[in-house]
Amino acid sequence: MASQAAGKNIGYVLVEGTEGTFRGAVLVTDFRGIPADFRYTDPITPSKIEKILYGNALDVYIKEELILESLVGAVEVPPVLWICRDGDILDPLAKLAKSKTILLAPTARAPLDATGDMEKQNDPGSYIVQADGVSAPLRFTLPGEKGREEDARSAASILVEAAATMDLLEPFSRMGKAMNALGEEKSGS
Amino acid sequence: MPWARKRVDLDRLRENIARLFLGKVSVRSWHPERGGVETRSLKRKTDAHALRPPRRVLGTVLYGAAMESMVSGGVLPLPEMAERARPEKITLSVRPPSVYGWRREETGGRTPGKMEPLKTGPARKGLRLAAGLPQERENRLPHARGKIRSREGEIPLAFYYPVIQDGVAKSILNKEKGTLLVWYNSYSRAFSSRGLLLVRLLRQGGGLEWRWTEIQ
Repeated sequence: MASQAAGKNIGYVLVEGTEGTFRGAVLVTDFRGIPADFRYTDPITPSKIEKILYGNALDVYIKEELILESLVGAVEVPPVLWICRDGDILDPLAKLAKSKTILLAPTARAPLDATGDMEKQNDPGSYIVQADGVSAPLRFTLPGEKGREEDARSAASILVEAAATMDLLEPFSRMGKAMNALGEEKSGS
Repeated sequence: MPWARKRVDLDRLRENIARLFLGKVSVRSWHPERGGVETRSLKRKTDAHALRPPRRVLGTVLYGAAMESMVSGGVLPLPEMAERARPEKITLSVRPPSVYGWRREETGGRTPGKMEPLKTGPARKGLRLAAGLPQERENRLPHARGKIRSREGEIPLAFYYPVIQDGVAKSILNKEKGTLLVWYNSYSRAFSSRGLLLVRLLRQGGGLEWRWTEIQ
């Protein structure tokens, strides 16, 4: 498994819009969680008049067309799987990305019987998977209205393979810390 | 004063006789020397104040009631005389953001060269921080009970998984959160993971012990 995992990467995408300022980052790690490519954007702060005129459409435009497109386009190390944790950017990310895309979230469910076990959920395109033997199952959602079973199996197998050598959700907290540090540095400069 | 009482009795007698013979109505007389009646008027003297400022009042006096309203406007201009309205085009000021970042240099296990950002940005310090952040492992002992081998005379306290044993450059236990912070050597080629178990030893002199272990 170790030799197969080498050379494969997972791309994590984070787009935040808090207090009227939008920013985003992409972290591509290998299957050990070691960063291979990291990109982040300048913060974007729309003016008050733009917020009034464009309303919610402005958020969508900034998040999807400006930030996401810029970030994904800048990445040089291609991942085998893109992971986001915000349902709003799942479909746009899937359109931009050239590889599989999922929304990943933790659960408090009891572990499934064996590593690799998968269960379809009521929400369309949603599954839970037992990625490793010593944690709660993870919930993942495929883009689009209908998630195909074979796509789900393919995504689950990547998750199981990577979970043997890394914590699958941990890179998000690292990205959050990095973005906070970058924001503080920028506001302090 | 008996004389006075006698006088009153006589008066009463006279009055009674007069009633019997002259009429039944008692008539009393009024003497002006008792004092005159003071007359007061309820009418109040009032001062009138104009609500309009003096200038306005003066204007009204001078120009009549026309001052009350203002009329604007005039003859409509001919189309060629009218100023043309120039609509202001509102454009979004938000532009695609600049993207900064770095990519790990592939050295094939050799000593890496200097890490340079792909695009010079204003946040180099933050960039270094992002690259050097440790990975955080949570305690998975609740899920690992029965799956890790424990010895007699020790109590498992925490279990961290997965950790690439040969790739660890540094690790620190965050006692507040109960998490393990792991810094990897980015250029290590090791890929096999294990679990790191923290146990309390019960034997004399006890203490804590870290041990690498496999999941059964």
